[in-house]
Amino acid sequence: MLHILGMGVCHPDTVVDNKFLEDLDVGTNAQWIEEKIGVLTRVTTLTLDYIKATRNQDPRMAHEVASMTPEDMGVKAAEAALKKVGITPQQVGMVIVNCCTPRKTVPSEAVRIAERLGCSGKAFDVYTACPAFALHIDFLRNYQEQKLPEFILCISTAAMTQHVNYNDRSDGAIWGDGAAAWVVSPVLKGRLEMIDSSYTADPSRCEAVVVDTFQHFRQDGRAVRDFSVRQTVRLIKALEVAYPIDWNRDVFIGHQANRTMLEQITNNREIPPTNHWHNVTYLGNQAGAGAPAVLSGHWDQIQSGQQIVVAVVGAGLSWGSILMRAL
Amino acid sequence: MFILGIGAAHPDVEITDEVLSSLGLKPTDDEARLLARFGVRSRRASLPLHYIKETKNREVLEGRSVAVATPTTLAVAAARQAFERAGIAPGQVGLIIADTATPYQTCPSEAQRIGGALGIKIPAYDVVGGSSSFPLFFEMLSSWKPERVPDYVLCVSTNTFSQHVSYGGDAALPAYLFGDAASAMIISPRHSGRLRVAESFLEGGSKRSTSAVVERHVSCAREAVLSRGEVVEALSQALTRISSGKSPTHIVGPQLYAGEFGEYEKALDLGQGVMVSGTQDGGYAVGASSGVALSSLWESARAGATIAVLQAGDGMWGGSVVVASE
Repeated sequence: MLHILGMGVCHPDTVVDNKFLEDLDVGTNAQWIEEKIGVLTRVTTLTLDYIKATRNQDPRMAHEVASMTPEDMGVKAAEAALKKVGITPQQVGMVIVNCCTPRKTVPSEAVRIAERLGCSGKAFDVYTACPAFALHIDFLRNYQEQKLPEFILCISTAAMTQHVNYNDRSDGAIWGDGAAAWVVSPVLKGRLEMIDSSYTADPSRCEAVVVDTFQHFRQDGRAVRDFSVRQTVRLIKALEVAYPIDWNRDVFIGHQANRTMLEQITNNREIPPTNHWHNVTYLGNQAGAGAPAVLSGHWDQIQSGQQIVVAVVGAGLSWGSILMRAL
Repeated sequence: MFILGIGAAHPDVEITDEVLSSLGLKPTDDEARLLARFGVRSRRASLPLHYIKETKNREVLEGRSVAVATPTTLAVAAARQAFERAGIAPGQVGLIIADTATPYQTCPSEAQRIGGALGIKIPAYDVVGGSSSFPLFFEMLSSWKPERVPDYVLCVSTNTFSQHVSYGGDAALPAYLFGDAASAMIISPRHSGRLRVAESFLEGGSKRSTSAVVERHVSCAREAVLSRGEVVEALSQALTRISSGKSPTHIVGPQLYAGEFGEYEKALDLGQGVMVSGTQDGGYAVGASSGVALSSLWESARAGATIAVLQAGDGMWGGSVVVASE
């Protein structure tokens, strides 16, 4: 059985609030953003002056001015996770990374992060964008446990704001930047035991959400939103059927796409607000880093015996789930 | 585990040494020494020659707008050959795993774009191992619980490095080294096929990083290139790990060093012509090159032949896959 031993996060300091977006005068206002998207603030690796002056019309310029790269954030999140677990980088036998906004495509994000950390084990990218938390756990659950090293470092990092067109009234309101890291072991028992996982995709709809390597993010917003709500509900229902889930005790974490979408899901499954953990309201959609960052942020609130349901969706289109139990 | 079919694809455009020379790209003496070791005689590109001559591909996005192939279209072409050789239809595949160093889009994953182009609805994600992607795929799938491996897995590595080469740059090395290619394999844990995977291994631990960096344009990190002695030592170690103890009939060697295969054959007492290159007439396509070389043996490898695919040094790892022709 795999266990998560500890987690860490990194978010940039610069806050983009709704008033700032309203002042960009691109056809939106703070009230509309709050009502339609449910995000009050988000964090960015860009400067407010740069966004105001350029609206990030050329994402290649964003690379030049950003305060941190996805690699920088991944390293910081990983260092925090390793510190939490109390192990050194040299003890890590495998590093796997998900990044949908890499600054360089060679070497892989995993190799660059592993080198900076001083991890000498295998390092490679395992990549699907937003449902990375589910993919990484499901990917590791594929392995015969004796074939895995004692400590595996998983990282999901994204600097989506560097690919946002701030002349678009929705995209600027949705996205934030961040990284999350978690240490998994097949040998040692930790705080969270992995009970179940799933991951799949429908590549026939892969054009619905796109980040061009050197250009902007774009999506078929309405189609993706409908898919996200419907598919997340299906993932939760499947786990409700297979396992005794009690929403008065157990916790739901979804893809941090936007707050109103998450509320549609929790209303459908009658999940009380106290047992719905999220961070999108203040950090924005951090792509694959969002859901694990939520769990990391609530680490000290996890109660023994509690089950945590993670259901995440995203580009690909792809989706997956994790059921974990706190020891 | 079996390789049921393997395919390869290159774009049609050929860039000869004469073309590069006419662009004013003259290797320095140091570069010429390295290029002799790399052994690329000609390379395939997905950019039209007139575009390269006119613009030197100063702007990567402009190159993409005129390219005759993308990483995805090359991957699909290689996959179709692999399907044909395996005798299965795309709809029978249960998982797509892809590796690319030159994606047009960083979201969705290359595997998902390939799945979309093939019109199949199955799990698909990228596992990016760079030049070690070939042994990584096998080490990974052979380490999985058998019940978690679908009947048929499509593994693809695809790269269009020519679109990241600055043909007007000061350094001629990338222009002379890189080419575009894709290779694809249909792998099955339970259906037998032409090539049986006898063993595979992969290890980390190298302090050397990869020998190339791609941000917009590709640059080569010469300090990461292994010496001749280091490659011989790595190959020797990999060969001693082969459990049968027999010398393989064919060796798909570390493709970056194809120009020295003859010397490795002598140093390691291998027969002449044992080592197989997938780069000499197509250029180095990193993770795709080993598969290109193996694909070239598909028709010719006789029953009972053993083929070792060895990777040494470039990237973080060394690794090997030994297959036996059934």
